[in-house]
Amino acid sequence: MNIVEILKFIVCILIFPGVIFVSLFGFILMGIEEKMYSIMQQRHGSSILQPIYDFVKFSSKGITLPSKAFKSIFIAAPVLSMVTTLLMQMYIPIFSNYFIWGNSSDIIFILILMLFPIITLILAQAASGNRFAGINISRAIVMLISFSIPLIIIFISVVYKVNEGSESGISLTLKSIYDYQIKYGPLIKKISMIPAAISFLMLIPAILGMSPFDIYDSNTEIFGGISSVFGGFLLGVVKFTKAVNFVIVSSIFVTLFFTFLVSSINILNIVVFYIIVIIVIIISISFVKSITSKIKIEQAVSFFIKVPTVLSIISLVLVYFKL
Amino acid sequence: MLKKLVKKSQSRSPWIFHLRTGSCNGCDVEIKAMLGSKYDLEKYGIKFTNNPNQADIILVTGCLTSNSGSKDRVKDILSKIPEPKAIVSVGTCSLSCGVFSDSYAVDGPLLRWINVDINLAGCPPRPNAILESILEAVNLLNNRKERD
Repeated sequence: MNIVEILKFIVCILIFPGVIFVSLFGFILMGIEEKMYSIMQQRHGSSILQPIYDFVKFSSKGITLPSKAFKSIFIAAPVLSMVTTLLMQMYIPIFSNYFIWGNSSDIIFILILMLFPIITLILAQAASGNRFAGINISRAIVMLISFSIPLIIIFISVVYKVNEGSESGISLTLKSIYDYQIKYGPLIKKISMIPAAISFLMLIPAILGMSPFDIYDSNTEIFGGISSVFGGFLLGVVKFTKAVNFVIVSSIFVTLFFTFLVSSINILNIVVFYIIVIIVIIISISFVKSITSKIKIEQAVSFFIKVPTVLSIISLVLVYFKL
Repeated sequence: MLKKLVKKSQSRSPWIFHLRTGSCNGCDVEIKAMLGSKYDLEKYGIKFTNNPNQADIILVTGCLTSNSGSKDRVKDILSKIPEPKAIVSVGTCSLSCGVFSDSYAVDGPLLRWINVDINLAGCPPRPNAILESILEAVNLLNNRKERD
């Protein structure tokens, strides 16, 4: 590794597409989502920079801890969640086909890390000593199990499609999915992948804890949901993680189904990639939020079993018949 | 520059905790009316929170009933809100107990027990008056931070 490669590695991790870019873009993406939601409701709405203001305000406050909390886990859980979410950015192929760790079975790792922010919030809630924690935890676990089943099937069908007719064995990397689409065109063009893409689009609000699947993290639920136990600096960390997760989850969706190169100029490809990310967030979150009402946990679970799971199974069956 | 950003963020992101101390629900309904799209609180960055730890401004409604320990509970909740904070009393009840004054079931008015920054009279006050007093509280917080 020469000095240029080391510098490139450091720039990739810290500036673009690493920590600084992904956090700023995440906050702006959250702001755009809120703004679009208010436009759809014919309101003026908050500024696009509002999530940054919220984050800076909370970060400037001290750490406030509940008196009965198990302090070490309560502080470590959101920080761990933030670190793992930032780590995921390294797997997403944005910058000139540059993968930092994309050579092993990273899809399984990505699948686990996508669900990690919810798991750590459950952990923090359990350590908070809050009397309403049990309700929030049980809701979060039920949601987690119900939406991870279709998510796993979607990943299986995509991997199966990409490795169709492969002689060198099954490759479980995001790089293989990326390379396949560069060679044969985006996966969304295949009939078998359309149900999987629609299913993933339905799961994005659930993974990000947004309406109507924000039952475990909604202000209007009992004691304000799972992130309500945090205050001050730790709430800033939770907000930061959520903003980064906005970019990660939508980027994974775009990488799985919409990878294509518009030109040989890298910057243009990156701009197109992020425009698709913004459109995905507006469709899957702002639009869905403005046309749906609050639902119960039973309704959400029943929806996940009836619609996204069935769609992902259809996709898997179509892939089996090589469509 | 960082100080400026922090100051701007603090004035653009006031989070509010609504504390009910035994109101007839008139003021609470007006506060809920203020949350609708007509007044659009989000354009000021205002959000309601259920956790006192996350709040900057406290809206207090009601005349403080004489239920066992309700006065201590109010003081306990207010102590959990980190400084700097501003307390806004909404409605005549928290000023003078209004129609409930001299009642055996009332321990108030609230002004007897805690220091309130902004008093808003009215039975109930209109949503735009409540919004105005919240914005006044934001200014008060900014001035307080500058003074500190």
